[in-house]
Order: sequence, then structure tokens, then C-alpha cells
Amino acid sequence: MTMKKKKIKLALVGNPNTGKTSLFNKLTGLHKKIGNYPGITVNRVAGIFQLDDGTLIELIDLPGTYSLHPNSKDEEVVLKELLLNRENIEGVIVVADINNLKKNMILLTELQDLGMPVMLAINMCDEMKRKGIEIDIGKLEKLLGIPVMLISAKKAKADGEKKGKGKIHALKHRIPEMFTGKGKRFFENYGLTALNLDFIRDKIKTNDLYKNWILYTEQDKLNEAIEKKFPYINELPFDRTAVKKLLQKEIIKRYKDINEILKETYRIDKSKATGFTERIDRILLHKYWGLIIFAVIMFSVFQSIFSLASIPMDWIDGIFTQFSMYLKTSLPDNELTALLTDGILAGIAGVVIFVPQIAILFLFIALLEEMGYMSRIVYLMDKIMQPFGLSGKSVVPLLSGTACAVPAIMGARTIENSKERLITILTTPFMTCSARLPVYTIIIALIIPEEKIFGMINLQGLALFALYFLGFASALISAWVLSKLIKSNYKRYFILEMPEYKLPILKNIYITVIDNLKAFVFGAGKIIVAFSIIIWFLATHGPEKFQQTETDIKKTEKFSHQEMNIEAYKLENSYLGIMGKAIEPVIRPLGYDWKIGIALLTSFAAREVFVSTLSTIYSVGDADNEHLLKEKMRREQNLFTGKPTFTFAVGISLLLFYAFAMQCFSTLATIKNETKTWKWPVIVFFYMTGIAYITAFIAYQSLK
Amino acid sequence: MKLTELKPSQKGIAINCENSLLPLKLMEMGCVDGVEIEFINKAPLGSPYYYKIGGTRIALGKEIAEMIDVKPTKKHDDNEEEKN
Repeated sequence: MTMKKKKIKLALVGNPNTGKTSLFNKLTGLHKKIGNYPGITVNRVAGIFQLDDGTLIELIDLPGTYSLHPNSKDEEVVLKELLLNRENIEGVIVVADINNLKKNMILLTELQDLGMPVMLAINMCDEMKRKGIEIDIGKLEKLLGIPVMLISAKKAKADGEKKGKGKIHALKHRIPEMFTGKGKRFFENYGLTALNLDFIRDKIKTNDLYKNWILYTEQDKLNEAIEKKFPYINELPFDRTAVKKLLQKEIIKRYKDINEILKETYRIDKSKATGFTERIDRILLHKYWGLIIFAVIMFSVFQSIFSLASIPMDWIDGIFTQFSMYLKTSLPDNELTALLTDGILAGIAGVVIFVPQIAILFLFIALLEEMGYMSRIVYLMDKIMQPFGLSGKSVVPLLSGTACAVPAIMGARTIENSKERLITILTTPFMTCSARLPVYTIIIALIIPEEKIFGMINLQGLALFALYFLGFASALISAWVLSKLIKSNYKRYFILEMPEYKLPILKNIYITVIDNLKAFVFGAGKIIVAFSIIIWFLATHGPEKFQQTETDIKKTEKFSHQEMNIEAYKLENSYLGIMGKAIEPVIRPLGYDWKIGIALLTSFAAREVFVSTLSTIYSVGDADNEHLLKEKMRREQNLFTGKPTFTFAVGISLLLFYAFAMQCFSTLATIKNETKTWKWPVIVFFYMTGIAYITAFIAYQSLK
Repeated sequence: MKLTELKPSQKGIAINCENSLLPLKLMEMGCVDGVEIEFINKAPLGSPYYYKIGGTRIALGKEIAEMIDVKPTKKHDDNEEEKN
């Protein structure tokens, strides 16, 4: 391999909790592209940086793993990228934690056996003195035959630093060396393949021995590639237990080799070990205190999403309203202005309004992750979540879902296991988000008497609580169903490394927040703006009758509140109104008329729009005048039966419909953005709306 | 004795990690025969269990921890020199 090339593709690999992503951030800064590996919900993060000689390095941050033998879809990515090398990765930087070099070197030796140009970056060298660690780097390089660097991603300044303590620049400088040396091979001395691969010795080159060994041992995950490129693997007999025994032997031999190497190069003064993390864990994971502290942390996170975010959200709302008013008064009153203000600007406002919530949630998530508490959440919550096919980490997205599903679904990014992440994404929309609250409040006020039972329990409050519980229960039940339906080759067992508690690196938190905001604004945001323009168009345009609104209204002078009735008349005759009428036969079995139909359709912009739409239809004027709206709704009569529209049965049916139906296109856009396919949002839409329809149908038919 | 039978802070030496029922990942993380394991804590809801295995803090599901056998060492053992 020559260094004459202008661009080199490298991969960053390492065990979890080695500061791999920190190093990636320091090397590439914010110049990164986040995508997905085809067909799976595993993020593909790539960035670019330049060496002093002008060579461009494209760096791919592969998921954290302990070895090339995968335990999940994410780890499978590492195996496939490096073994089958679909992307032409030319070399690998292995990141290791200085505190636990031995364990980190299993993966390193495997990569060396694969024949990849490798470089070892030993991270957290700033802790050496405190921990009493000494390393002979020169000797380590000689024994391994590869460049080895001591670095500190934490101490490193920004990318491009020259003399910083983190030695990131020095690391960059030595990248070319990994292509010149000859790395030590380990596997060929182990003699493990005798029973199996020897059958085909004549077909494989010696330096491909390990590659074939992995192909053979992981054949169930590499089916496709084996059939196409390595069909001889299928001819070999395969005994799972025997192979596992050999793999275990391989690890023992690797540890033996690693111990030999480290005995000469690595020393740790055990007396300096403080047991700090274990001591903190005895409190934070305590039988009672552990759960109380966890509850307090979660409670503050959600308080912040609710109350802290509402301040900037009000500003955003205010600024966009002001700006839109300004444009309306200063621009000519025509179609284009309306499109700009009520369509495009309102759409953008609908995206920006999520920014504070996403920023705050990710600020907390990044903080908890950086400090090491995230793994403790998994530890504390696994017993509850695991029977439902969820990760302990799913607790955070699920609970955040009570504020808003959009940031919550993005919060599922912290779940490494792609199946658990997918299930979390798909079930979070069931949680009672704050947009459902205005709908719930008005309907509950309408159908549930304001009474107390047993003299203390408020009946309306009880109904609201029941709805929240319903949301949570249906999320868990759906998760359970999905976990049975979504196939996985991997058996689930709980093995989790508990990282050391650390002070957070502020830069990493900043980057996490910015990355996620970008992903939302430029990913889901585009879809949200497009959707809201469509809804705006449908609600403000209509055929002939719509265009004659004003003359029609003037003809029938019986209206007292003309201004408002024009709006109602327009909405009724707009395309959306026509659609609302058209779906009436479908929703009549649920007890709804076309007016509710229109409100259901406008709810797609956001559920709370239900209330303002009804206000428009019933010509209440100010949507905030809930009392007046309630009175109007109470008096509203069904045209066919002459009975009140909002009976108890209709109310319950509506509550159930809003509890289950997927009526939020921002959520659908976010699911699309996170899973990188329209398949999942479409499934969620039909699944949730289907449940909504059926339950509302049953409720109405049995209560009416 | 089973790994789950250790008392808090008690240590033991692993003796059957190379058992083909255990996931390979465990060995990759350093849980091999002869390694010293210290029990740190049990999750409030009864599982997982939290150990220090060699130099690594690892939480294990109950069903996994039950499959590992250890030979308990005395609580205050001078024999802590674990060669790296």
C-alpha cells in the first residue's frame, strides 16, 4: 500500500467505553456524516481530516465491540466491514483504555491476524500517574510490530492541535507508519484449525488462514458472502459445540500471548487503586437509594423537558408569530404571501419549536452517558424492561415520550442493540405526549362529571391518570409483541461492562447536542415542513364553493358572528373539509360526524390542533376560550339522531382514538429519519391507527 | 460454589469459565479460569449481578452468573497480586 494516494479510508474500532467516540470527535471535529448501514438501524458515522502532507483521511467510527465474533447486529457491522471489506477500508486505528489494556488487546490481536494495517492508540494516558501505570511503548511497538501511541482524547484541544497534551496531532502524524511495518501474527501458531480448515488447506493462502477461520466460525452470519465468494466453506462439516470449544481455546491462547507481551511492557501499581467507582456504585446502585436516586434524576430530566424547554419554546412561538404578522402587513395580500407565512414559515416554526426539547434531552443524555451513569440505568432497569424485549436504556426514551415523542425517539440512539433500539422507537409514540393533553382535558371536562369519589379522588383526574397508564401499558404490550415478531439471530443475555465514573468532557456533550439537532432539523425537519405546507394548502384551498364563501355567507344573513363564520364555512368547503366529510362513513361507527372528521384530519399537523379546529368549526373565535368551546360542544347535536354529538360514548371513543392513533407527522418523519426507511413509519401508522379504530369502535358500540 | 452465592465484597477464583454454555463474550472480556472475581452488588430488582472480574467491572444477568463456579478466597486475602 502506498502513501502517494490523496485519500485513505480508515476505521476506528475498540471496546465500548474506551473513549473511541471522543477520539473520533477530536480527530474530525464537526465534519462528519451520519447515515445508516443498509437495512439496519445501526448508525454509520464517518468524518474526514487532513494530514500535514495533504493526505485526506476518511475515518469511519465502527460500533464498539470486544472481538470480531459478534453478539448483536451492531457488532456484526464491525465483522462485515473489516472481514468482507465492502467499503475498502485500508487500515484500522484500534482505541484501547490504558486501565484495561489486556482486555482491549484481544480485538487488536484479531485484527492483526486479519492482516490489516493496524495502529494502536492507548487512550486516557492522562490518568497514568494517578493510577500508577507505566508502559514501555518502544518495546510494545517492537513486540506487536505496529505503531503504538499514548493519547488522551480528553486533554486534546480542538482538531489540528499541534502541541496539545492529548497528542492527537502526533497520532495523525504516525498514520502513514501503519502501512510500512509488519504486524505480528498470532493465530497461525495456535494450531486450532487442524480439525476443520485443514480439509481445505490447498484452497487457502496461509496468510488468509485467520480470515477463513472467521468465515468458517461465523458462517451463519456471513451466509451471503460465503455463497458468493467462499463456497468451499459450506463444504466443511460444522459442529457448533466443537467450534465453540476451539474459539474458547483461541481466547485463552490470545490471553497467554497478551500476558507475555504485557509482562515486559506494562506495570500497574495496585496500591494506587482507589476503588472509587465501586464505592460510588454501592450508593448509586443501593437496594433502596439506587432506585430513589434514579427516580430523582429521571424526574429532573422530565421536569426540564417540560418546564425549562417551555421558555425558549414560547420565544420561538412569539418570534415566528411576530415575523409572520410583519410579513403579512408589509407584503401584498396575495396567495404567495399566504404560502410564505401560513405555509412555509409555519412549517419551519413547527420544526424549530422542537429544538429546545431535543437540545435539553440530549444535554442530559450526553451528560449521563459521559459520566458513566447510563450503564447504571441499564443495570437498574433491565429486570423490568427485559421481559418486554426492551433495553434498560429504553426507560429514558419511553419516559421522555410523555413530553414529546420526537426527541424521545431520537433518544433511543443511545441503545446499542439495534433490535432493542428499533422496538423502543416503534413503541415510544404510545406514551401520552403533551400534545394529547389539551384534547384529553377538553373531552374529559365534557363527559366526566367534576365529582369526587370516596370524598377525595377527583374523577376527572382519575380519568386522566387512566389515559396515561393506558399509553404506558400499550407501549409495553406492543414492545412485547414486536419482540416476538422481529427476528434476531442473537440470543439475549445480559453482560454489560460498567464503566468508570468520570467528569464529563464538555466538548463531547456539545457535539452530541449539535449532532442530534442537525440530524433532526435537516432530516426529519424537511419532511415536517413539506407535510405542513400540504396540510396548509388543503385547509385553505377548495373547489368552487370554497371560492364563493363570502358571497354565500352574505346571502344567508342569519349569522350573527360573520367574521368567524366565514372561517368555519371556508374550512368546511376546503379540500380538507371535503376529505373530512368523505371519511364520515368510515368514522360514523365510532360515533363521529364530519366536523370531528375534519378535526381528526387537521390533528395530523399536531394533536392539539384538534381543539383549535373545533373552535373554528363551532365558530368560537379564540381557541383559548375553552369554556365557550365546551358549551358549544355540549349543545352540538347530531344531524341524524337529533341527540347531542358529544355523548359519553363518543367522548370515550374519542379519548381512546387519541390515545392510540398515530396522528403526528413529526413523529412519523422522525421515525423515518431514525430508521432510514419509510417501512417503519408506515407500519407504525397503520398499527397504531388500527388499534385506535378498533378500540374506539368497540367502546362506542358498547356504550351508546 | 456458584458465583451468585458470594457475599458482598467477597472474592473467588473462577473455575469453569471455559464452559461451552457460557457466551464467548464473557471470556473475551477477561472472565477466564483462574481470574479473581469480586462480588460488588446485586441490582435492586434481583438481577443483574455486579462483579469485578480481573480489572473489569461487569454486570451479569442472574442466569449467566449462576453458570459460573468459583472457589471462594478468604475475605481479606493477601494473595491479591494478580499478574498482568
